[in-house]
Amino acid sequence: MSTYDEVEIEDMTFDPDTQLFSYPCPCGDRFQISIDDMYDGEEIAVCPSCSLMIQVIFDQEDLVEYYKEADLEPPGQIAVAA
Amino acid sequence: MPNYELLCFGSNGNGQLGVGHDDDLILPQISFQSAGAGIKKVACGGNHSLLLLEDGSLYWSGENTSGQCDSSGTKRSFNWVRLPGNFLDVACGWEVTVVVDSDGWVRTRGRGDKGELGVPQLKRSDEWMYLFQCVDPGAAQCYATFQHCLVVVPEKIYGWGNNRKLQVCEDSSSKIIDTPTVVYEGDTANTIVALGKDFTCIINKNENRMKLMGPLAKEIPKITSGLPNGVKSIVTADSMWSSLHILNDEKRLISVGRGLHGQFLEGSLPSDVVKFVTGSEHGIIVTKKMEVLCWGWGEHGNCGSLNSKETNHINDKSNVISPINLIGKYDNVSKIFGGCATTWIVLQHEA
Repeated sequence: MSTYDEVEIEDMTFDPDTQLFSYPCPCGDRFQISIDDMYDGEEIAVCPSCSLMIQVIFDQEDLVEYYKEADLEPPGQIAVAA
Repeated sequence: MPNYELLCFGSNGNGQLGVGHDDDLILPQISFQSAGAGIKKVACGGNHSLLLLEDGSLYWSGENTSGQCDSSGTKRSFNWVRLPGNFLDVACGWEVTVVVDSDGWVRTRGRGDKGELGVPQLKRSDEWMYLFQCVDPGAAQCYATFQHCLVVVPEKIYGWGNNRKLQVCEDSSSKIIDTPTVVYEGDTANTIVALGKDFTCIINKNENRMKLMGPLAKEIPKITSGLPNGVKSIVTADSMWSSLHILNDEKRLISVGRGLHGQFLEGSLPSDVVKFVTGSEHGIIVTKKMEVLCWGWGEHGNCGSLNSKETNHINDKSNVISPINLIGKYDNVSKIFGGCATTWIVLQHEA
């Protein structure tokens, strides 16, 4: 099934403690996706309370600043475009 | 003197339906009763609800973890709690509440990372923040959605909140507008405001003018082609989070935006439709025969049950993408409201 919406990473909220990106769902809960899953190429954030999903628009290199914010090293190398 | 009954159903994970528990409902249940004062408005955030009566009294139910409802420190309430003060209007964003009080003060409270509180740099307040005072309190109206807010006063409209998609104003250098900013000037009597997640639609029939801000502005040609008699032929308009719906005088809905979950009605509306509003991703109408119908994304029970013999009120997730569905036929439906996967019906009974 197609996703409910497409959301840019900049519009999501990152919690450095849980390492989760989240975004409000129209059901009242929040779509969630972990930074490591995104590093691995996952781009679908799911809602724990309903079947809706969103596609997160990002490049792997966008994750660098969030890993820094969480004081973590990425699982592997991230190629940063010059 | 008439008395009033507020029915509700849908998403209830934080008790935002005010029915004493936190189970989602698929059939309407009584949430509030009023002998005397009419029910003026129900405004809904992500997980909190505000109920305003015609006598100015204001009640809340649902989540209060960010102080979006009251200052007691209570995390949530499954029942309606009265707030001190006297109010004229109320609206809710995701985790914020906006009111116009009887002295004309526009106040906000709760949590807003995108400027929703309308106070520079402030992201959270569990006390009311007083933004500005309206000269003519009775003429002021407040609106809010996801992450932005609007207040309509005579000849002006103020906006603030998330402007990443230029949904508040055309100034692309400001991703966050954290102070009330004039976003529209001109006649504001008879103005229709419809706010979506990343767009704002302002319709003024007196001036035959429509302003659409945000990415949906690219759909203006489609809207215009659905309005051969111009903006004057718009009966009403409302927005789901990701789509705008304009009802024209031929009782046809012009819908633009995202509609992959049943939000766009196939075919036309019943010809005797008298009221139309939206929730976060569903539509609600009332017909002249006082039938209430819903359609759209109904996973939380907010579009009712498709089984007309259903007697269990608790949502069984049997109606995820709802065709237009009859909720019930009543004697006198005075108002309808939609929230985040919630549906509200106000019944008026003559004593």
